[in-house]
Amino acid sequence: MSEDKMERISALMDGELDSRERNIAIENIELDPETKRSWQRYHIIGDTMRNTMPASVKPDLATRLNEMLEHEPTVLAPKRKNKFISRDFTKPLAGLAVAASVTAVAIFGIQNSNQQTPDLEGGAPDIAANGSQISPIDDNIGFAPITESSMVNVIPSTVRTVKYEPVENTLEAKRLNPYILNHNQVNSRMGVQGVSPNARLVGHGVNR
Amino acid sequence: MGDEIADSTLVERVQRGDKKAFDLLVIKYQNRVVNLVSRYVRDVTDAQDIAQEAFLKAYRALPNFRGDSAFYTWLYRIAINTAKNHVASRARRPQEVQPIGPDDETFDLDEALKETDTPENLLLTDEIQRTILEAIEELPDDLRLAITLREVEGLSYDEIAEAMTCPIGTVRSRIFRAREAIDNRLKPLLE
Repeated sequence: MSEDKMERISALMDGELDSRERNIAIENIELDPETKRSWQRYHIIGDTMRNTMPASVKPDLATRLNEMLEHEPTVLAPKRKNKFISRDFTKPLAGLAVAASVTAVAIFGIQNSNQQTPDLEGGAPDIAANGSQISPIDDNIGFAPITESSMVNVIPSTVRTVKYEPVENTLEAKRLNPYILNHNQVNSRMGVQGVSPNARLVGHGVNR
Repeated sequence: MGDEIADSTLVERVQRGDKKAFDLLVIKYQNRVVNLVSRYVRDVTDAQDIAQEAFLKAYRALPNFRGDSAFYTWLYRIAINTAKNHVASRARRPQEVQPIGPDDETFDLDEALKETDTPENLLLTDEIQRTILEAIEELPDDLRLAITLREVEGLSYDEIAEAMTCPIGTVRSRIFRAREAIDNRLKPLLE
């Protein structure tokens, strides 16, 4: 190998070549076994000067590894993106995504709290479709009967379950049914997703 | 910094399917990695095996290497973890050698290595180091200073040119001539 080429190998070691020259120099080393041996000796010189040589040198490590790599599948990685460019674009987008998530949570939370506020604070009761006043919450709300066979055992132990108890009081039943209907209509108009559209509308009373 | 530029190109080539480029990285770092691993295991053969395993792991993990850190920093971590795993697995077995470290009062790496290494290897290692140091001593001052500033101090050609008040091209030439002079003495030992 010419002196000029070897000088380029020396400069490659020191990271003093441009991209094109680096690739040419690397190809020279890969193709010429003697140049590869020089590459090895040049590094032994550097390691000795920096005192990073092991106490015992076994130069066959690279040879053994090379043989093992022949049986390894070829590494193929997706082309790396320019770090500078990708950071410029991803940072504002990531911020935007976080902001959108926070806004969505906030809107959903406000909607829910607006619906719950009268109930919690005992404010004005809802007006049923037929004009009669109903109390917002009744402790005696009953639930549609659930048979054991229809239950799926996915309820965590921390969730409180309510046992079905038939409500005998017909006056309560008369007040509750319009409330449930009204509540469902209001929810649908407000576009609250995830609960009402998928929920089964249940009635109140012994025979329902 | 210079190391990182060359490493980055080699890594990119490996990631594009050039296995031979990985061989160049192994040649470049094998001594440093074996030296590093030797802090954890007494046996030279074990250190070589662990270094080999670390390089294999690095090769297999290279598709995921994004270049956020320098290649050697990444390889260093792999080598340390491989050595620690080796020590941990040995510690689980009875009557095994305990891990050693710089804090160990009985730590004497050279002595430990000499207990298990072959005389031929030790002789070769001593011979290599002595030859290189002698060759450096015999270099003309400007060549010796240039290669010392590069290899020991890690200065760039630009910085060396400033320190030695000479053009960058002269620095490049001096460093190369220094390497060639040392290599001419070293070559017969390794053939």
